[in-house]
Amino acid sequence: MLSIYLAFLEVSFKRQITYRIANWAGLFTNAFFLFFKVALFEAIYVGNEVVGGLNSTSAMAYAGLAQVLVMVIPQWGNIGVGEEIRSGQVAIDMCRPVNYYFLTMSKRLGISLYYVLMRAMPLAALGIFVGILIPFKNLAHIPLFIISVVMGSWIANSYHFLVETSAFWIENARGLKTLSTGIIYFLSGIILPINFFPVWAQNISRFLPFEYTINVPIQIYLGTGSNIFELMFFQLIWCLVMSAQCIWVLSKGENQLTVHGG
Amino acid sequence: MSYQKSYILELLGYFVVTGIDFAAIYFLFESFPAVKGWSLWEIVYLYGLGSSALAIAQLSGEVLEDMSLIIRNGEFDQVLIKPISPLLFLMPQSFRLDRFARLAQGVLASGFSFYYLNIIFSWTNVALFLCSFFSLIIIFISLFLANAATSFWTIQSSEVFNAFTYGGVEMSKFPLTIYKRWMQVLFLFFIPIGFVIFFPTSILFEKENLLNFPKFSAFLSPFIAIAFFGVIWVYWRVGIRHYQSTGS
Repeated sequence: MLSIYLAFLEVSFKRQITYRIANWAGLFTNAFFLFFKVALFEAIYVGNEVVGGLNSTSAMAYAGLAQVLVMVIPQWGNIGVGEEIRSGQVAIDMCRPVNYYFLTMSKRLGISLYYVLMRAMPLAALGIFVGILIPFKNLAHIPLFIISVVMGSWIANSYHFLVETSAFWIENARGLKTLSTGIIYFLSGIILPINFFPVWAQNISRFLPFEYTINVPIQIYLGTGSNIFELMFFQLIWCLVMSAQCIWVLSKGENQLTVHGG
Repeated sequence: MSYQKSYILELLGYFVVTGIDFAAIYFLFESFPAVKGWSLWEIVYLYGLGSSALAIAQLSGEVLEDMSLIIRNGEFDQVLIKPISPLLFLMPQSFRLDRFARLAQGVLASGFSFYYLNIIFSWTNVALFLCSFFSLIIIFISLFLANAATSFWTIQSSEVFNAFTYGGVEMSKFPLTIYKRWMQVLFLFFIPIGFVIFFPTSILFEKENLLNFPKFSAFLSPFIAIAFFGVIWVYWRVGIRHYQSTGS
């Protein structure tokens, strides 16, 4: 069973490799935003020491790392599920002996792996080269960071999956997609670090899954915020909750599909 | 009936996204007093300029963004045999709600910034605003054209110009003074988004003079934008010739 999922992961990874020119262009865009955000945070810290638990250096590192991870932990995203449902492709996938949700997640992890190699690493190298990012001081944090990134990616992809399953019921989901993308963009911390949110907004965000996508791995890297294990525990909880939701909605969608004679 | 529902849902989506955009800036200024001496509503002013100019450029040059698709599909040949300029033929009016939403967002932002900054509508101030506004529109249209023209050489569309367009509008929301030298030079003299939005505005708000340019140079913005368009236009024409000569 697992080998089937791994096979899809591998195929997905290999397919991404063919988009070479698009990757260079995308890398350029990521690098651009990296320099832009870093410059912004450097400027706002002039005359301020510590704000929201971050100083100038850590805020710039936050911005840099956010760009490094933004493709690996997808905030924006057509993950293809909406199209597959509308085109009917999903019916074929559901005939396979594997669960469509886990199948999609396998593909998405393959894509994330690709972006680790082709975006995250070059951007991280760039960040280190210009002095924004420093390699981990505590080596023991590295495996924890990696696990955290994987969980963050899992939560983000599950969220996109959940949103796109609306295609089972809604014809034109562009509004929903706009809305949902805006929400994750904002509450994950990549537009503005959660540290800079007013306290009331931070309290709300804590009970939502979004900051556990990209904000938590960054906090782990920075060594700020609460206990690492506490953060990762909440990530795990959200992974399970999102997965359960996706599986449940998927089964409802399957019923919908068969009712409409699909 | 369901079409109307999805329409409303779409409107709601853009409404929320606008709120989120503003919330991000608002939260930023709750935590920090100013950005290199620029306050919340001055940033909102820049934001309004950038958003509305981009929206209008998108509405006018809508089809240029999809140009690469037309070329890749081989449909461009049909366009070339028409007796009028390809560009004129490809400028339909298409209704895209998200463009209008962005325009509304920009207009609202501008409006609020005028109110909260108590901007006086003197001839100079209006001229400075319009200078930035029209110059930005021309530059964004040029970038869309450049993106389309690049399709004549590569099959996959060039995201480089998209980075300059959407990245450019993002960075134009903050004063140019916060960026490193090389970024300033890039956006002042090569892709003059920074020039046309920052100079007139810094004069309007009486901010420090970057590079000690004489004040009237702010009014050169439209000419700089047109010159930029001219360069891109040449690139476009060269592209068409290249396309024709590869024997399609």
